[in-house]
Amino acid sequence: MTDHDLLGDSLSGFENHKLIAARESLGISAGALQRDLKLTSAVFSAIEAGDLDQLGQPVFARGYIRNYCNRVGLDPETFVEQYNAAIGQRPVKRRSAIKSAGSATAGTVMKLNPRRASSLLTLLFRLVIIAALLAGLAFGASQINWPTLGLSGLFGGSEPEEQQSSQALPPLAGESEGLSIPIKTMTQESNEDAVVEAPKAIELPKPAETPDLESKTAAVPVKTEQPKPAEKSEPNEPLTASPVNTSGSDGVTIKFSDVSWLNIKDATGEALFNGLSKKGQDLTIKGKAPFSIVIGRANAVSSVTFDGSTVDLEPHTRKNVARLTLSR
Amino acid sequence: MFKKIRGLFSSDLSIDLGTANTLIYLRDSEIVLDEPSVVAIRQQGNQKTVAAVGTDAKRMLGRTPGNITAIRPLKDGVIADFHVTEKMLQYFISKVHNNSFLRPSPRVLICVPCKSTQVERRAIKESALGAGAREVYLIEEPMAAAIGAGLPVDEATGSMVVDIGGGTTEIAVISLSGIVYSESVRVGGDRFDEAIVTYVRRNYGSLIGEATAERIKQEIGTAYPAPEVLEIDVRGRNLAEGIPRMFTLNSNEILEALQEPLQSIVQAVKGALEQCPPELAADVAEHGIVLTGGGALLRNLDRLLTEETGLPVIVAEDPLTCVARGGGKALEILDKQGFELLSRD
Repeated sequence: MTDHDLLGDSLSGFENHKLIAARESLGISAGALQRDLKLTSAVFSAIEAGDLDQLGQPVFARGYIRNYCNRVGLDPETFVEQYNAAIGQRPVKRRSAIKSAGSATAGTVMKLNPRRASSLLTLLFRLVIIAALLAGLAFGASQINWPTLGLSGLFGGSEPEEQQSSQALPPLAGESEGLSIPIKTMTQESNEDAVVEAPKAIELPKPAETPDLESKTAAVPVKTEQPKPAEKSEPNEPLTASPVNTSGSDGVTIKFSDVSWLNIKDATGEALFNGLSKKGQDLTIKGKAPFSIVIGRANAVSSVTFDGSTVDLEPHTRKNVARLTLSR
Repeated sequence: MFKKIRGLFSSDLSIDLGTANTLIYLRDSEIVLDEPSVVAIRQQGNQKTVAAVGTDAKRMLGRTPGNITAIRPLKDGVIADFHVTEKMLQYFISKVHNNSFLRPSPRVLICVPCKSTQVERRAIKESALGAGAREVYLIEEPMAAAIGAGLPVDEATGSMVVDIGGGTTEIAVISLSGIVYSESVRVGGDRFDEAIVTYVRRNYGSLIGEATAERIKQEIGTAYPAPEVLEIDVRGRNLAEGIPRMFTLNSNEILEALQEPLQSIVQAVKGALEQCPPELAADVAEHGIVLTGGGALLRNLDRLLTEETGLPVIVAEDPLTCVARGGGKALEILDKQGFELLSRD
């Protein structure tokens, strides 16, 4: 009577009788094979009895079954599949080609899986974000008064919303480049990376040094952004030399108690003044009304006079930046 | 901020940045990339450009003209050429995100050798960040291998894993989600190849390349005497005559050639068993040792270790991808409950 007759088949579909038959056909005793495989008698008996629950963790059980099959000349994968089916686990997909540690012959790149169940939701969410971003950018572009960007940052005020949107612009431009050229010349890499990085992209290089102004603005928390002056004006030029249109009949007089940035345009849209004032200066500008005025630091202005009457800045001031239009 | 937005368009990745191969596992999915860690660099004047990466570059190894150099940027499991590694990772990350229309910025988990220094880990992290990763986590390779193999790492029982990679062999005893003992020896698949090259030069007076040595190892290499003897025809340049000659190698010769690196691995495993606390050693003796990594595919390596240690030794399922798969599972654990084995350092 053989071991097979004693044990019979496992109810789980695991063909343990084939294992025993293969062992016996080779003339190997159970004890000899157990010693050869270095298995405990409990584990070895469990394999031959098809008592799969006694084999412990699946990772070990599969290994024991493989080793057993290899020794008796059976295909291990057949029995491992039976084991997987019995315990209800999906096996890890094994590679057919034998590859060792140094090998690298496969080189197959699979595309990302067909999206999992939640992917549709994720995709929708992403599309909504993109739409919101694009809408925000479009709205921002139509609303932003470009010369004022970075103004309040210079004078220590909180960042206006327009400025935040302007921070987002440079990385977007860098993005499109990064997509098209995933691998570029190695000598250019650091510069290209810097363009793509959002925080770096908003750090503008400092303009030409203006020692006198810097000393005055040192007390306020200066950020990295500097106002981008219009090409026509010189920020540190004396106020008396500022370009003032004297052809018009209307006039605006602004008294400054401290340093402030100022931009004044007349009815034609021409910049009558674009630059920094000095502490204690009185600035009178003539031109054609209505005047469009932006004062970067409203609390540095002691008074504004237009056609002999004083203008209250308070209703026009937001986050210490005054924007107003003066007309008759 | 933009990295976060780009992160919405990127999938979390687990990267097994190996000396021989780089594998990428996409979270909640499968292995999506398995390519050689090779980069071909073209030099034009003072300017260097990347000519090919991965499989294409691997084909160029030993066959390049003067202005192209095929480089393996990792050596012994750690970065040997920082910039080339960064470019390689950048290429791989963008390749697995080829459906996105923004530059990917994924969270990345990278497996590092357990005995790698802080400097080496920092280099790997910086390299991944430079390649566009949003966040980088590091996990020790044997832990990832154990998770990928399906070992019960979180239970109060000792599990021993031997991960034989291209450059290093990592040995660890794990219990309660922690590494109790670990050892790393700089012996792996590359050393096997070198040993075969040396053997052929010494005994046949012929020179063969690494790619040929690797093919010999894969086809007839064995770590323990087998009943059947396999043979392979090999062509190499005869050093005396200077012309290519063909000769036949058999598996017993390769077994002889591999003795030195194999003994290094055996000694390391025995050393780990000696250092292991007795309770954990008893667990290991009961359950056995699990082999992972490409080196585990060397024929009869499990048999050799079984005979040398007297313990059952089993090869994990799909051992080549265990580390990457384990890293992917660790990423999932990270989001669910945090995972003390992951670090950002």
